[in-house]
Amino acid sequence: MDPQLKKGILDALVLSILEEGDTYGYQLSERVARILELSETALYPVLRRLEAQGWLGTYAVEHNGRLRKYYHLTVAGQKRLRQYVEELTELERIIRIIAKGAGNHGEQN
Amino acid sequence: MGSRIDRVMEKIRAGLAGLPEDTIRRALDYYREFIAEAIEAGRSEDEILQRLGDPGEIIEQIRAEASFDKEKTFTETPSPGLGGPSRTGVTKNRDVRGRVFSSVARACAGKILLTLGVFSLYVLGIGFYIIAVGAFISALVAVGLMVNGISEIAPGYTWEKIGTAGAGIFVAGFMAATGFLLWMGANGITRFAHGLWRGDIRRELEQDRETAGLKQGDDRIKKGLTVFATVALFGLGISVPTGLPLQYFLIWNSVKPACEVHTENYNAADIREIEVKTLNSMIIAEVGEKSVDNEIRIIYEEAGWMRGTFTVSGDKFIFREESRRRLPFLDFVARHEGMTAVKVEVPPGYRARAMALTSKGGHIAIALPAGDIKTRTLTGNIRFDARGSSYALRAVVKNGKIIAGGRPLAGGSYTAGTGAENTIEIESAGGTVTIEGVELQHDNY
Repeated sequence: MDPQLKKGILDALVLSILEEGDTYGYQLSERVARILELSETALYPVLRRLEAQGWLGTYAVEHNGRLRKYYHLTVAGQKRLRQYVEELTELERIIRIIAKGAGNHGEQN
Repeated sequence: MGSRIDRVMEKIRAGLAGLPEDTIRRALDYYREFIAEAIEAGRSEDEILQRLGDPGEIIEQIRAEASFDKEKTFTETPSPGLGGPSRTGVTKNRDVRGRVFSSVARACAGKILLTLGVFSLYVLGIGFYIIAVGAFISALVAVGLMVNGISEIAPGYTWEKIGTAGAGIFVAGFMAATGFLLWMGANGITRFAHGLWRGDIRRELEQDRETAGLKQGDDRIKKGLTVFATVALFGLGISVPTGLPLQYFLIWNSVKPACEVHTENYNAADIREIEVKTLNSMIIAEVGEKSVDNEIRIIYEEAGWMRGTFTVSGDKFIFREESRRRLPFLDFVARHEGMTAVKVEVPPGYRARAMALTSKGGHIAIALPAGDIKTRTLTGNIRFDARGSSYALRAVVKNGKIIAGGRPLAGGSYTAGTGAENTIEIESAGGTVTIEGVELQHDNY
């Protein structure tokens, strides 16, 4: 998959999982892995990026004598998620056209 | 914890060395937590290792993200309208009200910043385009000059013609390559500005297209540059072996060329007027220390591309320095002082009726009591030692300065002496005129 596209979809996926409730890293990773194949390698940078953008926040909870880092969606993150959904809907429409049209609809660069 | 996992973690830690402390700690914490959770969930070492993926890739990803973060802090502004990504480094512990307020403020500030940024990028891009066009024109001019230069060279000087052609090809190729690079740069800048302005979803789609476009551009840059650079190198390869570039370099840097020295002697009684005209050789007129009585001696250092002619017409001696039409653009180069000289040595007590000493770029030094003297240069300096003569002197400079009696004078003209028997006229457009042996009380500038 195009890396740019995959990045966007991954971002949206993580945000949408968090919308259902705060989650800690391992659980999040399991849930993402259930939907698409992904190593930790790929997930960590996504979380870092989303956090850096201010779309998700973190807090720590003690668990078995160590700290478990929880991720939660911020207001900006909710907004961004809604936007992603719109964008992906639009993308879906385009993809349908592409899949159907076999490249004969005149758009040329 | 399994030792293989430990080793992977150690590898990651080593691979991250050099990144900010904070970045490393966060990453290691994350992976440690993941491993702890996985062990708690009863995963096997193999499973965990598989989920972790390649440590090399982990390192690379974190490094890439870290540099991306750094860039973002400086460049990212919120996109217009669609409220795209906000600035990074958002404070994490602010209350919601603060967040909403600051996000509105950020959106406004962001819009202004974006407009300014896009505008200045466009201006920059247009500037690049203009300079690029200038470079392309220069390449064409270089070709024109080359053709003109070759036509200036007299028949027989084949190497000089080849050298000139090579130099022209080099300059044209170089300028074309520069112009091309600037043009592609301008292209990239305006495209980037355009993308920035359009923003968001379309931006993401656009970006794919754009990166494809840029890649295409990269290839074109490489191809174009290769072509033009090859042309330039080819020109250089032809030109340098002919020695022509070196020749110009030496002339321009006032290195005295190898030259043939011509000496002519004349009976002083036969010569009443002296006229010397050079391109860029220096003219020195003085009382010869070793000169035989009643003999005027002319010593000329002739460079390979110059020709000196000595003629006597009636009681007038005429020396002319001319181009052999071997080096093109000598007229232009001759504005620069030459290191060759023509020396006019007169016997002590000799007085010419008139002297006219003219050089385009060479210095002129006069140290003799003479009759009327007229001396002119375009860019050279003139030194006149008036000691022992009686004269009315007028010196004019356009861009240079006049130094009389060791004192720099304001203004472009200077007169000294009163109603004396001889007239001295000194004129330099660009050089400095130095007059020695003048009585300063006669200043009446």
